[in-house]
Amino acid sequence: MICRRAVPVFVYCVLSIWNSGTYAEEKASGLLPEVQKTMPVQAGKSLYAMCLGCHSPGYNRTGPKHCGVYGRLAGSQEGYQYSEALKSSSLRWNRHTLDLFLEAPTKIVPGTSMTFAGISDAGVRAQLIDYLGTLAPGHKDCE
Amino acid sequence: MSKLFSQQVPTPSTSMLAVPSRRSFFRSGGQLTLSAMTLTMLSGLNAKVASASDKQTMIDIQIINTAIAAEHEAVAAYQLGAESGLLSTPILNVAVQFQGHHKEHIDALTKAVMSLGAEAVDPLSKYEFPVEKLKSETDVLTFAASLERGAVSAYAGAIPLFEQRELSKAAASILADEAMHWAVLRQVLGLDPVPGAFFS
Repeated sequence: MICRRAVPVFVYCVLSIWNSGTYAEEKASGLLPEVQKTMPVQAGKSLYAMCLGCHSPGYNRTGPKHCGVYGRLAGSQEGYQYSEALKSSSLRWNRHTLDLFLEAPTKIVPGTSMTFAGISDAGVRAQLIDYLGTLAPGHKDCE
Repeated sequence: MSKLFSQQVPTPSTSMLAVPSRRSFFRSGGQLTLSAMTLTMLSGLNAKVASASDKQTMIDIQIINTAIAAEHEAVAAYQLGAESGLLSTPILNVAVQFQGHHKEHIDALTKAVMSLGAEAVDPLSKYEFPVEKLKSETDVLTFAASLERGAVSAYAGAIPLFEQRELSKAAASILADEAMHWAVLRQVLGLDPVPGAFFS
């Protein structure tokens, strides 16, 4: 019985502290938006482990390198041998096209060498794209 | 790309493969069983597909050839690690064993492509690896582990695309081997060898 009463009180206390303390300070200082911005990128970087069988940020492998992918015309990374399908796709990589491609590569570009069923979880795709979007030349992961 | 090292395609190194095995928990006869099973799965393809004529078969060929390309790269990566001089003898033995598995994967996948009436892709004349970042045994093992982890995802992503169940079964068999490589490498690195219940 004590526990039943104590739990809501505990939760209330935690929420009160969270709202009035660190969280409020971070929000007031403008720190929180930065944290919120970097958290998906870190999550995306962790998720990128699933891409490392074929890709790397900084060099071409079985798949093309990803540094500078954002804004790049599909099939245009120098030094990589693309499928004719991707080269002729006329896709330009942005959040929308990356999302479509990562969801079902072989459906969006039939004949692509990226013979991967795709990532059905939109949240996972979004986090991966957040990370890919940071991979501009000069990024430390591109070294 | 001066920061990168272009790894020449390794030729089969008999001296490397002849490294005497040590009694270690790494060593087992499992690879032979895996290989035999995979080849058995793939051997059934001849009876089912005579030539690469239909669209779905072409897709199956594309999937296998992408896998072969990745396996060739894995062989080259392990060759780089083996020749780095950074690996202690027990670890070198494991690396050579894993490289041998990848060569067996290539053999099995090549047979599969040929059974579909197509040619397997050749290894590249050179591969790029971040050699400047590989300064210790831990660096080499971490690099290898990242490749094996990615390979698990690559096979997991390819399996649903195969038209032929035999190919899916063979790819799943290879996936299991890649996952074991990853787990062993993590164990050696002092990491949790199996850090989750699901992997995609």
